[in-house]
Amino acid sequence: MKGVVFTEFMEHVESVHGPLVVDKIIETSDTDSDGVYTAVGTYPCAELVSLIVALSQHSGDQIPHIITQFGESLSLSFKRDFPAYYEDVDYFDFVECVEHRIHVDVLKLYPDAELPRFNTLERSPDCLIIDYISSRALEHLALGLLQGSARQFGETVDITMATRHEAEQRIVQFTINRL
Amino acid sequence: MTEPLIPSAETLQALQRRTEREKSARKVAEKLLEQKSLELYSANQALQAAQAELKSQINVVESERDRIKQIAITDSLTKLTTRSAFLENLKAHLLGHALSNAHHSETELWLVVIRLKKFKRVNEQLGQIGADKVLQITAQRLAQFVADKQGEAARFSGTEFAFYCPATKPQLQTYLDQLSHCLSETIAINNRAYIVEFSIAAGGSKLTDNNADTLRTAVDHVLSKVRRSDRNSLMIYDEVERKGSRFRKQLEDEIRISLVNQEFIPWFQPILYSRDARSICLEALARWPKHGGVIRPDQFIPVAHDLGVWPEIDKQLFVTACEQVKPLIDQGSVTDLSVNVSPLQLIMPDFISGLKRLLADTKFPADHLILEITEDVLIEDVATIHSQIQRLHALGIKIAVDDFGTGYSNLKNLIDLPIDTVKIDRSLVMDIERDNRATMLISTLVQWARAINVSVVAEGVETETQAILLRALGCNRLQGYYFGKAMSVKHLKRELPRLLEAAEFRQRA
Repeated sequence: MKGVVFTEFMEHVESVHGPLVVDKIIETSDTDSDGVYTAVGTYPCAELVSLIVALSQHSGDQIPHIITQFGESLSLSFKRDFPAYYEDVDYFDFVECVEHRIHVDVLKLYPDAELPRFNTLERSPDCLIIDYISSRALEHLALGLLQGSARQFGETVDITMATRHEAEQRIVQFTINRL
Repeated sequence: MTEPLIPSAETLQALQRRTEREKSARKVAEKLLEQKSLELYSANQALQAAQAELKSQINVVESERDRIKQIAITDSLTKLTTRSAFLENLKAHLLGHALSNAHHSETELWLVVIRLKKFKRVNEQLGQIGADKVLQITAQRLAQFVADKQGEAARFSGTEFAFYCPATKPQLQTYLDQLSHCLSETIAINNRAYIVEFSIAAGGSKLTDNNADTLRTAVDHVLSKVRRSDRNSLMIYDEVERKGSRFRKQLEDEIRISLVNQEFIPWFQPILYSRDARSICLEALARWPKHGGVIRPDQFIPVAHDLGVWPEIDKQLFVTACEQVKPLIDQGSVTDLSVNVSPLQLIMPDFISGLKRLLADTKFPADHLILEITEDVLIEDVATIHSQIQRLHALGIKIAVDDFGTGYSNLKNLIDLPIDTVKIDRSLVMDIERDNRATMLISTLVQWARAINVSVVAEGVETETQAILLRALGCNRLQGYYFGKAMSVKHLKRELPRLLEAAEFRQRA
C-alpha cells in the first residue's frame, strides 16, 4: 500500500485524537515499520489494519466507523492536493472518473499500485449504482471517500452498501441516491 | 483546568519517539529519493541511447529513400532520366515556357521521340549484353547532343528515347539533322560494326497549346506514321499532321464503335486451281463497309493495331469467315479457306489453343484451313515458329508463305520450315509478259518448290496471257483480278458457278 495512505492516516488520528494517541497505537501495534512512514514509500496493508485495530481498542470506536471517518478526511486532502479532478464535473461524474481518470493517472506514476475497481452499473439523474471490487475489503474507506466527496460538491446523499460474491470475488455494490 | 507547563515524562518520551520516527522517515524518504534519482538518470541514459539509435535508423531510411528516389528518376542502364520524371519536368518546362515566352516569339519547346528500329535483330545478333551496349552508346550520344541545348534527355521505354529543348522550327530542323547524323555513326561491338536504325518524331508547343498531353499525343501520332517507313526517317508535327491527327482521332472512334457493332466483315478472293476446275480456294480479306463504301484494310488495320483492338477484330473476322465458308466446303465447291496471320500472332503462346477453340466453335474442319504468314516471320524466333508450325500441322492446318519474293528471305530458314505453299508476289507476276528474267525466276521457283514438295500460288494475275503463262510454268493455283476481286459472301455465292465454268473453259483451252 502506498505510504501516503499511512501518513494521511497518522495525520488524521493526530487531528482527531492528538499526538499521544498516534504514539500509543504505534507502540501497541508493534509493526515492522515501527511507525516510520514516508509518503513515497510502500508498506504492507496489514500494518494499516494493525494500526486501525489498535485505535479501535484505544478509543472504543467500531473499526468500520474509524475507516469511514478516515475516508472522509482523505477526501479533503485529495481535493486540496488535486483540485483539477473537481473542475467542470458534478458529483456523479467525479465518482465515475475515479476508475477512468484518477486510477489511470495513479498507474502512470506507480505501475505496481494495486487499485480497487469501480464499475458503474446504472446512472440516472438521481441515482448512481457502482460495484466496488477489491482484494483488500476496504469498502468503508470507499464509503468515507464517497460521503466526503458528496459534501465537497455540496450534495446530500444516501449511500447503501450490499455485499455479494461472484466467481470467488467479493463485490460491494454502492447505491448512491441524491436526496 | 490548565495544561501543566512541564510535560510529564511519559509525554516527553512519546515526543522523543515521534522525533526519532520523523528522522527515520526523512532518511527513508531521502534514500528513496536518491534511488529514484539514479533510476531517472539511467532512464535518461537509456533514452539518449534509444534516441541515437533512432537517429541512425532514420539516417539509414533517409539514405535508402534518396537512393530509391534516384532510381526512380534515373534509368539504371543508360543513366538518362526515366520516362515518369522526364514527363514531370516536361510539364513544368511547358508551363514555364507558356508563362515566360511572349506569344510573338518564334522559339517554342519541342518534344522529340527517337525510336530504335529492328532492335530484336540487334538482340539476336549481339546478344543481350551487346544490345545493352548499343542502348548505352545511343544514350550517351543523345545526352551529349542535348547537353548544350537547355533541354533534357530520357529513356522513354525499352528502345525509345526522348528529349525536349527550346528552339525555333528551323533550328530544330538543323538539330534533328545533326542528331540523325550523330546517331547513324557506326558502333563497334565485339569487333563488329553496327549502325542503329531509328525513327524520329518531333512536336512543338505552339501547335499543341503548351499542353503536355496534347504534345505527347501529337508526337505519338507522327511517330506512328514515321515508324512505318523502312529507313531512318524523321517527321515534325505540323498543320497538315494536325488535321491528319484529327481525322485519325475520328477514325479511332469509328473503329471502336464498329468493333462493338461487329461491322468488320470478311470478303473472299477466289484462288483457282490450274488443273482442276471442280472447286476453288478462297482467301479471306478484312473489309470495313462505311459511309456507303468499303474502307480498305491498309487504312484501318494499322490504326486498329495501334489501338490494340486488332486481335479482337481479327477474331470476329475469322469466326465470320469460317461460318460463311463452311457450307461451301460441305457442298464441295470450295476446298480451302486461306487467312492471314501475323508473325507476332503466330508466336503468341496461346495462339494455337485459341485457334482450336474457334475452329471447334464454328465446327470448321481444320484440314481445310490455310494460314498465310509473311516472310517477315523469318526475322522472328525461328525455333519457336518451327515448333508452332509443327503443332499446326498436327491439327491438319496448312501453312502458306505470302508475298514470297519480296522480303529478304533467308532461303535456308525457309526450306527448314515445314511449309505447304508459297505465294509468289504480284510484283514478280506483273513482269512476266515483258521480262524474260521474271519468267525464268518463277520457273526456277516452281522447280525448287516441287523438289521440296511445296505447292505454288501466283498472286496478282491480271491478264489472260499471265494466266496461261503461269499455268504453263507449273504454278498450282492462280489468284488475281483476272479471276475476280475480293467480294462479299453473298456476291461470291452468285459468282461461284461463273468462276467454276470459267476455270473449266480455261482448262479445256
